[in-house]
Amino acid sequence: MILSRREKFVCYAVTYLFALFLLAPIVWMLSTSFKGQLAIFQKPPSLFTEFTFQNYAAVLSDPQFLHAFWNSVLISSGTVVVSVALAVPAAYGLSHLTGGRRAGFLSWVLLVRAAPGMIYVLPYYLAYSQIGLIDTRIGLILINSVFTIPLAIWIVIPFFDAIPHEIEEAAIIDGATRFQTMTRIAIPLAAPGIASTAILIFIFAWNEFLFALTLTRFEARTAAVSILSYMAYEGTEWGKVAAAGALILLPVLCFSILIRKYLVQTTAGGVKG
Amino acid sequence: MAEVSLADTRKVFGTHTVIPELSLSVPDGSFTVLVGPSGCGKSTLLRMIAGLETTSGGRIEIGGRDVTAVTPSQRGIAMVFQSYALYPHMSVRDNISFGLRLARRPAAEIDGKVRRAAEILQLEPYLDRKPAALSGGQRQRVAIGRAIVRDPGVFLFDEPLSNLDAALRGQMRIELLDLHRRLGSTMIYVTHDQVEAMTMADKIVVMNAGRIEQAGSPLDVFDRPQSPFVAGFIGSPRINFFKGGIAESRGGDMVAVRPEHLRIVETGGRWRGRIRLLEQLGTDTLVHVTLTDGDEIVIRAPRMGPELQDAQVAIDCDDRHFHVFCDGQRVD
Ligand SMILES: Nc1ncnc2c1ncn2[C@@H]1O[C@H](COP(=O)(O)OP(=O)(O)OP(=O)(O)O)[C@@H](O)[C@H]1O
Ligand SMILES: [Mg+2]
Repeated sequence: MILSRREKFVCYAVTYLFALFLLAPIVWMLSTSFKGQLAIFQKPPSLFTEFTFQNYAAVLSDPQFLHAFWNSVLISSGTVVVSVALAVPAAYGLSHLTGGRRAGFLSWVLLVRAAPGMIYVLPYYLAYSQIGLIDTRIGLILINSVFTIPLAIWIVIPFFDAIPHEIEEAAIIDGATRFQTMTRIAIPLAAPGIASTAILIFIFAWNEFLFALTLTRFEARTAAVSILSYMAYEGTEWGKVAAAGALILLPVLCFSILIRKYLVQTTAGGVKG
Repeated sequence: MAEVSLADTRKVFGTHTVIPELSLSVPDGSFTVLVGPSGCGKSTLLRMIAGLETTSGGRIEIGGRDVTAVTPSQRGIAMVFQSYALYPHMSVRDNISFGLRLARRPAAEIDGKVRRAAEILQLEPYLDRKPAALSGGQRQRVAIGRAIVRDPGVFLFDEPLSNLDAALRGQMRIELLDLHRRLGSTMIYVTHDQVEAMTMADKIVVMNAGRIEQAGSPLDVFDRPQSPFVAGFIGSPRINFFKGGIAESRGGDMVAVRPEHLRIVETGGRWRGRIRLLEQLGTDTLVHVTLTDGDEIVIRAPRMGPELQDAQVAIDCDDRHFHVFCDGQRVD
């Protein structure tokens, strides 16, 4: 499609406006995180009047925040491990099913994912109270996985579908069992897709808020929830909220950059032998 | 070494019968070529022999052992696919040794076998490359190497050369025949290219719609086609068919004459027609003639000049060159 100058200008203008709309809160957060309490409420606001690390120092020396941050790391990693370990074999199996059974199963899987999280909160709360999973990392890992496994299955299946059947048949003639065909041939070939999926799961679990808020008290509280403790009755400590937010954003940012690398690899690499 | 025999083998996909009932014996050490038009069930049959497809009925024996219910890797076969089907994430060496490593063979044995296969196929310089860094011909050699190290009694090839260009195809054809002589194994080779079939086979099996039309040596199939289908399928350019009086006078409902057995004559002749097109092959000329009754025929004649375009000609052929068919069967 060839665009005239004016059309191009309009396209860029819309794109940049939208980007500004998306990025403005992040910019505000970053700038706030480096300001002192007074500068935050300065009118008119300015981006960088004052530059201080005091908010970061305060947050990083807050044992409660550090504990929550560590919880987030463990819970997110645990969710990745559980979801990938279960979703990858499931996706492999489904990729080898055909016709109605596959489509049927996949839509059920999607339904689980599409239901609003609130529906799950109450039953899980009651069940978790009975079996002692309230305020545990395991509890959060399990409920996160309920949501990430369907997603992971859906993302990984096309990567398995893209592997020519003949490659797996060659492996079977070479004496591989179905399981070996999966571990030695299919998984290595789908690795970029699986890696991207793992990253998406990590980000999902990292950002998860609803369950972390309702199913934890202190022991398993995650970083995202712990920000709330800076919004107390006696007044919100905006500087700390922003600094904590920036710290929580950091891994997401790193992983987003990583995932781009993998996704590019996937389209460029191909499976053709 | 192993012979392969199929007894009343059937294959049904859902409601679609691909192979109605087929019996075939592939002699030990032979180079047997399955040939037929696209969709006639050649790949399906080969995959049934490999064990990649279940049988809907009948028995398959390899080396005298009933393998109908045996897994592919236990059948003593190796298969080379049209798409090569190499493992893209492994080096050439790992591709070739994959089966041996799965079977946990000693490292020395693996090394020796890979070395021997690489030597036979001239792959030594490429052992550490990935398949993506190889040419089509080299990839096909790796696929063959992967087959060789299995020491199979039977090699199965499914159109292994069809992705290669013409020159390379000719060269690989010769290499495969050398390999056959060197290893002495039974080879079953699927192709829809009748030139490949003629030049490589010591036994040709012509298939049509899941049935065997004829099986025999290439020259036998060429000289004595048992059905109009075989006559029309084997030989290039295609054989000429005639119906009507000329067929009835020979006791059939159809006769066929190969283009090289038709002659353009000065006087007399059985047919008359107008030259529609001259195809120059260099040594020979293919003369396309429209007969007076409207039929189109092709004659392979010694070189003729283009000035004959649109000329009226008479055409003849010796009696012994007629193939006579009645109700789809050869009549002698
Ligand atoms: N898995 C399958 N399910 C249903 N039908 C199939 C399946 N595999 C093959 N067929 C059908 O079986 C018939 C024979 O297929 P096959 O691949 O054996 O043909 P072929 O002789 O190898 O043809 P080609 O020369 O094009 O490779 C075709 O009509 C095909 O549509
Ligand atoms: Mg085929």
